[in-house]
Amino acid sequence: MKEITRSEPGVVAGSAILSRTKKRTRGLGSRERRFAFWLILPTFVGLTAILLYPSAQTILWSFQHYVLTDPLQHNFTLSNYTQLFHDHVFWLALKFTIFYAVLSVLGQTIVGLGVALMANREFRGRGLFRAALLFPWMMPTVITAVVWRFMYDPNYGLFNGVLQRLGLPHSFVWLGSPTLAVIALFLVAIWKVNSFAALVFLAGLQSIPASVYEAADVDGATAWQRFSRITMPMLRPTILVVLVLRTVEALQAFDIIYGLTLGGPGYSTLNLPLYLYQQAIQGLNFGYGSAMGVVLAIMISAFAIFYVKVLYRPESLG
Amino acid sequence: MSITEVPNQKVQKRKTSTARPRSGPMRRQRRSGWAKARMGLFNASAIVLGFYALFPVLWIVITSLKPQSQLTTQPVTLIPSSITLGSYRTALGQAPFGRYYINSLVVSVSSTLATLFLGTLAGYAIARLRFRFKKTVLLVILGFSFLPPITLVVPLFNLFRHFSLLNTYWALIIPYTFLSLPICVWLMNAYLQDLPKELEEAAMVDGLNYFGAFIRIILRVSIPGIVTAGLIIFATDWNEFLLALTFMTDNSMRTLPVGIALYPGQYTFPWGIISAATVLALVPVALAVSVFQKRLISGMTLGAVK
Repeated sequence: MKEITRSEPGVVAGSAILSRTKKRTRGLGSRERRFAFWLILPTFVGLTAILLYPSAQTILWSFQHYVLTDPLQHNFTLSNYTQLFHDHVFWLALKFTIFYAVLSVLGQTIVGLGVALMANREFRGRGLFRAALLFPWMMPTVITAVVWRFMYDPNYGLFNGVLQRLGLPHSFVWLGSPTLAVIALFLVAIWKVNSFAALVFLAGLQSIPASVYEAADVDGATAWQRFSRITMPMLRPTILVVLVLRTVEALQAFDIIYGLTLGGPGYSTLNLPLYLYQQAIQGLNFGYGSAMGVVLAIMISAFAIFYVKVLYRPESLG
Repeated sequence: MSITEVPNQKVQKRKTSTARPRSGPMRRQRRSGWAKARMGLFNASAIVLGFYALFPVLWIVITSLKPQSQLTTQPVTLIPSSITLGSYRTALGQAPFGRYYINSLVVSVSSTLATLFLGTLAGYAIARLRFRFKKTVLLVILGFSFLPPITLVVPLFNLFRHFSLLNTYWALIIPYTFLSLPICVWLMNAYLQDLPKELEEAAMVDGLNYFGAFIRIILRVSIPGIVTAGLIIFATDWNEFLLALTFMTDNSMRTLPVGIALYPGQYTFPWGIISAATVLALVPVALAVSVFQKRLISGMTLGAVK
């Protein structure tokens, strides 16, 4: 008897909670939605005001003659775009932008893949190795470029110095000739990013189940077969993500070129972002810069669309 | 979070345990010889690659410690005969790098905190509350991260000029906060999704409402996720160059990357000072890397692998 009476309050409380939660869930649905709304609102307002609104302005200005030193004219005009079309520096910059994006990303991906395959093995000091990999990625890009410019210095730089000590030809003016400057730029770009690619690939490699390799081992697969038949296909989605994300970023490269060559010698390493900066900020031609911004944004969104189309298919997500 | 070394260890263990008895002993012997050679090869190439990743940093450290006389020798002095902290003293004393450092810290810390605040709220709502069009909301927020900053420079420059915000900390704190926000929402959403659903339910039984549950329970358990996101965002803000170059034209308002990049233009090749300033700029980054290595890697790779 005692036991039953003791348990009675519990039962009552339990059913009370049950009925309360039942009642609540109906009211809660809307309260939950309202709470979610207020939590997300500041993010949306801020992103719209600081990112979306300026982007819209860029599009608007690209159709106006807007030079800060001239009186403002609100007339719709295509003059910025026709001027772009006839500007040979713009075409040079556009070509170099694509050239740089494609080749640097390719280099970063290939070197990064090699590094990742290596880091996926067991060896002593692997943690240290990975920490070393983080370094180039964490370094400010512009400082990276300045540091490399220092190493490229023809007189006091590391590279010519080491070449001289080894008794090799050592009078390269690394950043002085168009060809060498482009090669020098690619070396920096690959150094800066390959380790990021490697770390992402490494995460991808480690998500490949061990049982797949076991099965291949039982079937007597060679190392090359394991690589080409298992590793590569299973890493494909990760590789594509890296390729496209890095390309979107490489199309906007600014810091690295500003710090290393400033677009020179001549126009040999001038890309669209740097030319935009020179025209809009240094030349105060907002309209012209905006038109270039629109062209660049179109190129980038083309890649973004490609990204969504090719990568966000469920089957490639695995 | 998602990075573990378990899969690999499994491979190693199972390989030895599943060796078939017929060819077992022979294979194992050959493999161990092979493995030794391969191990040596791998260690060597790991050292080479590790060196490749680090040599510019090493070189900068060496240069920053060189006495003035050994900075301009030909061929270059690889290992200085004596070291000095003179360059550091000049960088912080005569040159305005101390000021740049403070500017960078103020801007990066405040914008990181602002991003984390907004991003955690939104990330929590998307990860754990029920409402319609959730996927769309997340995709739209992520879509913002595809807006190229270079196209924002001109209108933001104009906007800040209009409100006389150029050469104030606001000119960088405001854009940094929102440029990092999409990735922050993404990271927090991914992190909070993995927490057990019962957390809020338990809190509600205890009589807390949604807000209370969020403040008392969710915030506390999501500290590791917030730290990871915070580190990545801090590094991004600390390293940003384009906006800092454009919106801070006054020398005393420059951030460290801009100060270092523009310094050589003012004098001729003061490489010792620049190297010292660079080393100082790398200190927060190096600290973050060494302390939070695993977290950083898992956070960085989250977006690309998931």
